[in-house]
Formats: sequence, structure tokens, C-alpha cells
Amino acid sequence: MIEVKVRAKGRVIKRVMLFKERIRVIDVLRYLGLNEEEVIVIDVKKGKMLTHDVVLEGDSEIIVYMVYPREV
Amino acid sequence: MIRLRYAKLALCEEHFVEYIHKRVRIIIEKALRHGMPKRIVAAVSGGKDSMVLLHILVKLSKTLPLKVYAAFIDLGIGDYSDRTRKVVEDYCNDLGVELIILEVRKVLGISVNELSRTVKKPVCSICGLVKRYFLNALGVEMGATIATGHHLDDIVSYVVKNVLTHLGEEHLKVSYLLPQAKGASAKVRPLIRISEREVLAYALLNNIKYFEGACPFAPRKSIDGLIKRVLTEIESEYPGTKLAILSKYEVPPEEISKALESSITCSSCGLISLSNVCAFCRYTQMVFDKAMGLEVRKYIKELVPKD
Repeated sequence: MIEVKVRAKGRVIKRVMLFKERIRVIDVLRYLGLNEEEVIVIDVKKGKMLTHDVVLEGDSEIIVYMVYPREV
Repeated sequence: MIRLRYAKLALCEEHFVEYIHKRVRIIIEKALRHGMPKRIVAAVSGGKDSMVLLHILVKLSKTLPLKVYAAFIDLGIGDYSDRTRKVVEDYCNDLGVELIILEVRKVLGISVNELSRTVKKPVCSICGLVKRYFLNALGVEMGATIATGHHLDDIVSYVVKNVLTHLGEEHLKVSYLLPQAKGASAKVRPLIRISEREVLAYALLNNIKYFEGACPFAPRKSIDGLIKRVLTEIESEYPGTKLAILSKYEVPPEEISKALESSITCSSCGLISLSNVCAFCRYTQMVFDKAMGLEVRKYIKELVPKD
């Protein structure tokens, strides 16, 4: 399971659980209707910034920081 | 890793921070060559842009001849001002930077929202006017440069907004440095070539504690926000668009200096003005029956660090 939190203006505005074993960051963003230029993606467990092509596996947790807050 | 498509780069955290420092350093070095005063005051609001600016300036001051200060304007907007002030005070303590706090209420006796109500103008326009006036007065009294956290997205959205609305292209000039002039301090925008996304990434990577909330008077919808979002969408399809727009309207500081040669000063307070009496003195005259420009300058003079 992959947990995705979308943060904007200091709070989590959306929380999504993806029941997948493997998924690319870009596919998560597409699912949320976001593009790479408007977000920064952080892997919570590794404390690292992720690019669009990284494949998330197993029990991952990511935070998607939106540069310009809008509804997702 | 962060991917910067406009530069065809993918950088690790360490090299991304180095890359940002290098790009800001180029701007500061160019500004210093143009005679920018070495005393530099970062105008901080507590938001991420200004906190990132302060962080970078402090880092660069270790290798550049800069003396960095921070200035915070307490606008007197209740809880919002208290919280942002606390964030700024804590961060300046951590960095070991001297913080100058300018309290609007202390010198005017009212907050900016009360002032805007009295003069019947939108609070954001009065707030902008007061902030610009206080910062310019501080820069003049200190003989310092005022550094602001305006980044690429701010400048480009300003340009596009003006092209789309009223000003027209022929008057649009932007520069990383507004040189000193009669009654005006030098102003520098070190983040002019850094996008908001890069600023956010820098803040997250360096664990910069900034105030994430919004001003209670900030409009829910604004044309600036919409322009920024649209530009970001264009940028994602055509990387480098924002920088291309900036380079079309960017002029060297000499050109700004030339334009400032014909500027006039306010007959009441002596700071730069578009007319005989500056807007700040005009509005305060309406409210207090007395132009408060000189009072503000006197108040700020007492706060100027002596070294």
C-alpha cells in the first residue's frame, strides 16, 4: 500500500491510499491531476526528494507539496 | 533528486542547494559591481520566499563582502502578525542575524487594516504601500540595500498581468537591481531567476521553518494566482518559458538609474514620490490631519543598528 498526502498552505488537503505494489511517481501525479512543474514530491521514510520517474514500491509514504494550492 | 527541465538537469539534494547558491551569487556579485551598498537588509515576512532569501544571503555573506540584517514589519493584523513575528524572531535567532522590527501601530497608532478602512481603499493596496514606504525609509536611513524575496514566478506574473491589463509593454522594465536614487534606497531581488518550485524545494531541503498560513485579508481568488498557475502549466509543456519572458523584459540597472534621474521627492517627507506629496503622506494626512512620513523616518532612525 502506498500512502499519498497532498499538502498545500500548511495542511494536508488530500490523503490517498493506493493499493498497488509498484507505481511510478508520475502516475500518482497524473491520478491526482497534477503536473511535475507544480509540485515537489518527498519520500517520507527516506527523507528524499523524488523525481517523476521513480518507482514507488511496497509500503511507501510520500508527501506531494503543491507550489500553487488548488483543488485536487 | 530534483529535475529542472528548463536547465535539462537532474540534481541531488546537495548539488541542488549548491546550484541555487551559485545562481543567487551571480546576481549579488553583479549588483555589487553596480555599486549596491554592502549593508543588506532582507525584508522578511515569515513566508517561505523571504525566509529562503535570508538563509541564502547568510550563507553567501561568508564568502561575499555583505553585512546581512533582517527587517520585519509588524502590520498589527492580530494573530497573523503575532505568529509570523514569532517565526521570524526564532529563525533570526537560529541564524544569528540582527532583526529590525518595524511596528506600524507604534508609529501610526493604528494597524494597516484600520488605516485602509479609514481611507476607504483595499487593505492589500494600503498594506503594500505601507510596507514599501517603511522598507524604503529603512534603506535610506541605514544607507543599505533592501533585498526582497520576489522570485521568477512573481516577476513573470507581474509582467504578464501588466501586458494583459493596463500598463502596456513599452513601460515594462524589470531588473534584479533598482539602484539608489534621491530619496530611494537600493533594492535587490536576488531570487529573480529562481522559480517558486525551486524556492519551495530549497526550503524543504534546508528545513527552513516558515509560516505556511495565509494573511486573513488575502483574496480567495486573484488574477496573479491564476496567471501563475497558467504559466506553470505552459512551463510544464515548454520548459524555459518563464525565463524567456523575464529576459524579454529585463533591463540592466543603468536603464533604471536613467529613469530614476527624473524622479522627484515628497515635499513633506523627502522620500521618492511620483507627485509633489507621496501617497503615504497623502493618506496619513487624511487620517491624522498630519502627514506622518517624517514621524516614520524619525521612528526608524532610532532603530537603525549603529555598526
